[in-house]
Amino acid sequence: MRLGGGASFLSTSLLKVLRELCAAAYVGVRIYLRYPMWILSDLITSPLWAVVILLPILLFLPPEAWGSGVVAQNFFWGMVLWYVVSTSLMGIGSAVRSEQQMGTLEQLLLTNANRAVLFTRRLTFELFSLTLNTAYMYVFVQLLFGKPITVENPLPVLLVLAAAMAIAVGFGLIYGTLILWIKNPGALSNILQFVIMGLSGIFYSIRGLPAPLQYISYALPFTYVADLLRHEAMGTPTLLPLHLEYLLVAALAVALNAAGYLAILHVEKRLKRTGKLGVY
Amino acid sequence: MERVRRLARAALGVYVKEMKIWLRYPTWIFAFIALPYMLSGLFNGIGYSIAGPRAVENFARNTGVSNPFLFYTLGTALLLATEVLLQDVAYSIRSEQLLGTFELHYLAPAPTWLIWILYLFPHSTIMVVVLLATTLPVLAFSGVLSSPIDFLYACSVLALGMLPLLGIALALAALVVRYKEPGAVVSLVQSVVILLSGYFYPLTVFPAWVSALSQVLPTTHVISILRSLLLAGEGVSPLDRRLLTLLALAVAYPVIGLYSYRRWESEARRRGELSKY
Repeated sequence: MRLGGGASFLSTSLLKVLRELCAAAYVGVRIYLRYPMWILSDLITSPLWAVVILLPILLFLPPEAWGSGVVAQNFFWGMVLWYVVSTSLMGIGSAVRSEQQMGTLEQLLLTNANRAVLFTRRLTFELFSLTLNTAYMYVFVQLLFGKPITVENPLPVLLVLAAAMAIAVGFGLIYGTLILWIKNPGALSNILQFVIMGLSGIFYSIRGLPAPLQYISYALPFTYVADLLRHEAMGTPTLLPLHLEYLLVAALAVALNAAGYLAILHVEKRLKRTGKLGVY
Repeated sequence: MERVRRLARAALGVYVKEMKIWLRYPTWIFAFIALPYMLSGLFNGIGYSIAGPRAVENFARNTGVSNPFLFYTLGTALLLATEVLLQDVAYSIRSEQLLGTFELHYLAPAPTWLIWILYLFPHSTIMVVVLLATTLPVLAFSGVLSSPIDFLYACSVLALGMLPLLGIALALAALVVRYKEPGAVVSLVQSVVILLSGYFYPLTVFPAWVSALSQVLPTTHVISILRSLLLAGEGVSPLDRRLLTLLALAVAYPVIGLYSYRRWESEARRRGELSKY
């Protein structure tokens, strides 16, 4: 873009962010394809893990109900949502930690690139992995249960999944900022993952939870994503009126991303001032 | 005598170093203690949600155990303990490679395979703490801990079950020395072990050929014996078939593991690939 040309400030900024997104995506893809054994290992281990998670749940049902279509549907969408939560915490949130460990965090923060883009560069291969795993689980669950996985409203399902990823990015940015601040999260990611999965109704509706826990569930953003996804895919009733739940999910996607972005800027500035940016 | 003293010094050095690293990140220890309860809670929560008030009755019918919380807590604790030991040597080597301290181990006055095995002791200490902190409260609360002798017997079975894992760990370590990046292969082996060991379900849910295949894994027998002792309250005779199989595996796996490690290490040395990573 020529200096002093006709481009507006907004379009220049958008172009810059787009370029940064492309560069981040390119890095993400290069890293993903550098380790083909990991891709192969993911493809083999995903169904094995699915069986390991599914069987303990099925043991609560009588054997004649194991082939139920509803269980298969719940399980399939639960696995998809699990990937989304993992992407948020392990993919985006922990990206800061992996940059710290590789010793590239300081170099990244010396650039004038958008901070949110820097920390979401793993998003490309996380998205690729999510798509691959979803397609794979779709076939696997159908083979396992012998029941078709049907989607009642395909377009709204895609819309909800896009919103889920937006929320995952926002949540991941906030979590990533926390890691930037505390340096070593230890096992926090693993603990948080189980807490979110348990309380957000990833595999089941939160209506089955004890009343006090339901209050916590209502405060978690993934609860509404899971609820909407099951509604659009399986026709289950929603927790809130449908239009309100859509509105809430959209608002959460915007608010979490804005909060995450501002938090990164604030923490980076503070760490630079106190000289703790490179301490870990 | 001098050799023993040198080995003891090396063992102490490795122990102190690894324990310092563990204690530097205490949240991991708390996480290991909390995870079995959390995973068990998750399975139970989903189970109640989908099956309603008949969940426990169905569970008892499918597994022969009427306490699903205890069943899954014990299963997860054992899974964590065995998986940490299984991947430990491989990841310790990889971590030394990445830190640039791998070659220094060849200057130590002890064979490298022995040094890598020594890494298991500090990690085992943490795992014992985790296992006790996880299983004792839930066993005591459930009232299934009939006598301290039974508990000691269970601990001995667990210790015996760790010996074959040492062999598998050495074989995985050989892969790291030879092929460097272990993550994908270790993850694959772990997934197969977790699937076939039956930490979270009785193996009778699988077809007969899968159950037969699972008999080559030491963890399958450890879990089966511990369930008999702690969950079903059954005695396990020292001549029990599962115990004898475990004993045989405790001899066979370390021999195979050691052979693989020494062979692949010498191959890497011969090709000049030891320091390439």
